[in-house]
Amino acid sequence: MQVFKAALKAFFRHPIYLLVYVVWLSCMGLFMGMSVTDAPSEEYLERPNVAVINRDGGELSKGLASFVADNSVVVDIEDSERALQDAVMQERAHYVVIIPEGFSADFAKAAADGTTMPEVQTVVSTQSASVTMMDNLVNEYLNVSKTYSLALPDAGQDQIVKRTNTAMGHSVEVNVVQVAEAPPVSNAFLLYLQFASYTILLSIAVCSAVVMSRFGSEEISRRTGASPIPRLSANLQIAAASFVIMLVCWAFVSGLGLAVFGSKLVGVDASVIASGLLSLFVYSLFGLAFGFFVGQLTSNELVMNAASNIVGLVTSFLGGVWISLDLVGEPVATIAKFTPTYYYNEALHAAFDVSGGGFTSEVFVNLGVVCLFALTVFAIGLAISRIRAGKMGSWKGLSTKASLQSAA
Amino acid sequence: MHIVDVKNLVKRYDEKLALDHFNLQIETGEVFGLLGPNGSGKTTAINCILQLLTYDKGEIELFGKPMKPSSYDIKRRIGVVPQDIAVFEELTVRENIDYFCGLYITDSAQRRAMVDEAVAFVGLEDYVKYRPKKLSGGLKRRLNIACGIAHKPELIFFDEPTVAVDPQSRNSILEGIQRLNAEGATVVYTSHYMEEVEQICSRIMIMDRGESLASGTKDDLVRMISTGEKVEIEAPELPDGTLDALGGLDFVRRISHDGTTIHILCDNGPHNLANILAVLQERGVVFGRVYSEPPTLNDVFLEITGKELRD
Amino acid sequence: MWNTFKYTVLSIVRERGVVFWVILFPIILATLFNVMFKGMDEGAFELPMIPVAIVDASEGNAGDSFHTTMDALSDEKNGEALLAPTYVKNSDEAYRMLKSGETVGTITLDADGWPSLELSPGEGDVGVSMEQVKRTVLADVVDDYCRSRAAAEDIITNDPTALANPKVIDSFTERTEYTSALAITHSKTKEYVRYFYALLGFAALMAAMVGLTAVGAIQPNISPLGARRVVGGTGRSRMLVGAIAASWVISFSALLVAFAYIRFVLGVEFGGREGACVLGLAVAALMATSLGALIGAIPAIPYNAKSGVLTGLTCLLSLFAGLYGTPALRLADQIANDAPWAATINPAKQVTDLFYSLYVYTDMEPFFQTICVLLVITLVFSLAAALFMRRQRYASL
Repeated sequence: MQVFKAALKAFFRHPIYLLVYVVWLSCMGLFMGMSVTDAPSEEYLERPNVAVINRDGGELSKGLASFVADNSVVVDIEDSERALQDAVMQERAHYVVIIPEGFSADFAKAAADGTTMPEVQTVVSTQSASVTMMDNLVNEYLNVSKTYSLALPDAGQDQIVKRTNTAMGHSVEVNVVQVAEAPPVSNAFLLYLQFASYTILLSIAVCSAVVMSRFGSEEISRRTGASPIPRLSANLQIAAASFVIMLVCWAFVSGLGLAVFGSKLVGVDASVIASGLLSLFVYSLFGLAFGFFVGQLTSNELVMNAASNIVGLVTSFLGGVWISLDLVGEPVATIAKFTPTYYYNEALHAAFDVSGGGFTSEVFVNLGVVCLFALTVFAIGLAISRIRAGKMGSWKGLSTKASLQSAA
Repeated sequence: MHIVDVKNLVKRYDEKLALDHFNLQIETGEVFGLLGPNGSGKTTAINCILQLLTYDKGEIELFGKPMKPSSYDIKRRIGVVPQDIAVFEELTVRENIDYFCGLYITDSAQRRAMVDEAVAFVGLEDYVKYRPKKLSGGLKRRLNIACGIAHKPELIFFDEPTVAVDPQSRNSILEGIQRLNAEGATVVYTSHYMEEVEQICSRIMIMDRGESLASGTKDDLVRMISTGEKVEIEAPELPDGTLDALGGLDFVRRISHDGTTIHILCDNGPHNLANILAVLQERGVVFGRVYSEPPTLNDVFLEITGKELRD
Repeated sequence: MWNTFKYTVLSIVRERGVVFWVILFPIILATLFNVMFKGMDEGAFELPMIPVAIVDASEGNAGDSFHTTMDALSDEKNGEALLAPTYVKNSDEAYRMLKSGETVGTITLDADGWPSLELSPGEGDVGVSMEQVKRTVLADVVDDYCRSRAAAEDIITNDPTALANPKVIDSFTERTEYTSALAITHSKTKEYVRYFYALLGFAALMAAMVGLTAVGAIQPNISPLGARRVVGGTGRSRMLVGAIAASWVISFSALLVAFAYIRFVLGVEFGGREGACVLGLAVAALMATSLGALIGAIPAIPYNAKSGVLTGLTCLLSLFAGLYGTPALRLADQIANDAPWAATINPAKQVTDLFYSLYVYTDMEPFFQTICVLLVITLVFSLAAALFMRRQRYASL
């Protein structure tokens, strides 16, 4: 137990690592989690921020403007190029409708004469499905207006707009079906746990690498090698210390998540939350294995740090933490299946499934895959340490070869 | 039974032969010195004995039993003070000693007493709460020693424990080693400082290029070589022919006179000084003080290897 | 000074960890981004096929117009089928499909052929999920049908005479495009470029590793090497200038490499203003050097942990610059909107904005404003670092 105790003592004398990697990085997850608002489950529509710039005073223009306003989140933007660019820069408006001067009159005239219809201009800051749908709504309104313009050639535009508005007021009756008895898990908490795949990988890998590098240093490991503690036992004790550090990281991340998002989880079944935290625990095991692997490759703290960071970023992206995986191309989605984070996320989604989550077999299957990843990475690390020891022919190579020869 | 018995040890680093059929026998209770210049294979030999290094050929027995990497019962009886300071920067002086002692002794009450004793032994009582970073070079060396001896080993390897240490700390380290020996520990001591080895070792082995060149007590070694004593005689006025007459003696190797003193280097042999003085008296030379200095280990080394021991 | 410069450059370029972080890391990350966002760029706003169950309880011909619309929307010959409808017998069957995730919604036609819609509840996902898009599109499509039908029935009931005009009948089903996209920004906006700009912001902060290493190596209270150098014959300020100049040159070169890779190898657009980009990188490197000097000079942080502190800081500030995917980008925009000062003092966000403003704005003024903000940040960092470094002798080393 000496090695184990010394390892923990040595680690906890460096609170800066805990502070920077565990506390600090978990805060990143908090910010991410807090940035999403839980839409009420009845809210099924995704509407963009829209600005209407009405340079026309006509009835139709007013009607269109108010229709757009009713069906989107309206933001005010000044009518200048710079203001528009600012809005795009800051992503304040995803979609801007600019109604040109004389549009209402031109529309009525073109409908009557059968000539080309006038157009409104749009500015799209970020192309997305919701922007496309918003564009469709504008077209719908103007299409219906055109129908009324043709059908009621003698009516005034105010009349046409009124009838158009009435027709456009029709919308399908929508019910959101509750398929589960329990309330769904807060999106914020889910995102927090998803992002934790990055933070926990990084913090566990770096923290356990700190421990391993202390004992891996040539002087200490030689000195330990000369003692009656078997190498295997010393290594197991170091592993146990790393495991304790992993537990601390996991407990901290879990506790912080529950403390901050707990109020949003009221009413959620305890087993659902527990299975989410179990998923994080299993993923932490992968982090530990990865820390071991990196510790075998290098003892340079900067390199360990960078390697963990890159792998953390890559796997968290491929796990679908950055953007929804449906949105990336097929090849990327395929590559994603070769990362543990993907299965971690699958497990989380299964655990938080609205139609009955918790400890389902789907959760366990996915976590099993994560475990396999952890084992594989650990085995590769072990192989590397063996190969390196053999090559150096030095203190690490307490191999059978040496003892056989010394006995011969 | 030898406490350390190494036979025909061969160790290669790739092409370089680090140990060439190296033999070493150490008796229980002695302070054995391994003397050799840097790179002569002293540390390699110790690391092989401790099974930290693989080796190509040879047999190693400690306490009469073959030593293997898994000979934990043997390792438990050994103490090691490595050349490089092996301590945890994060742990205090006391915690470091406790850690290394704990690799051998599991009972913590027993260990507490041992750690106290080790702290007192190296005189670090005022520094137990310090981290190694705050210690001076000499104090760090002492900590390194305390970590190696706290568990009261029967056999202790000291690998150049005095490198880069001030004279005061060096003396206290050497005295400590003698005290450990007096308490019953067998000590294997490597150094490239011959004065230290002369001072504390009961037997000495001289190594170079991975080979054992000679071994024995200091007197054995000195007797082994053909170089004899250096004789200096204060004689301001020398009659003509005196130097030639002295140079004519068959045991005189070199002779010179710097105006006040005659310097004579002799071959190894009995009655050299008497014969010299007889020649002087015969010639009526008036002389003052006479010094005779026996050969040193450096002379031994110089004669065996053809180079100075130091660097 | 030249001597300090030369050996600072040599020692840093030979430090594997620094080279890894400052040069390799941005290149690896950029390559990854390229793979990720290529797929996103191609497939982002293509509307997906929406699986839907239809329960038809209409009587007689009342549902005909709806079926015609459905057929048109699911006709694969038409090129883009939007819906994949499955006709089911009863609502139980439809509910089962909804619950199992086979469909995202159920359309039920009443006796008169008017549809109503049942949707599955939102499931948590990062940012906007495809499920949410599908629900929105489905609701919109059905809404569209209802509105057109309402307009047509209104006219048929209240103004039957209008039906004499064939154009009116045609217009019931005719769809005219009334919108034309206008380019008001300097370049055509693509969202994914913002991730690359955020990456450059990240790389700029990471480049502070260089300044940190260089300054640590001349600070007597930070490293033994620093103590040794201070007792040399070269004046402290000359040595500092040499070290800082060397750090700047290395940081700038590293950022240039990353930029060149992103621009020319990966082909990411910077609004055709590469010259200004290089100026921006030079300023970013200056900021990085001053940040590195500041962290390197803070005596309270143990030397070994300094790189860790910098890494943590970089990750956190990059989060607020929008590096970590859609949620992070939204968060960054939200902060820029709600608390502009927080965005202003975030150097990662400022470097990111440097490139984004070149991309968005037609005039250069916002770019130069950002440059000025970065210079002010640099000045603040430098002054703070100088406060720590001005001491010549120390109570303990």
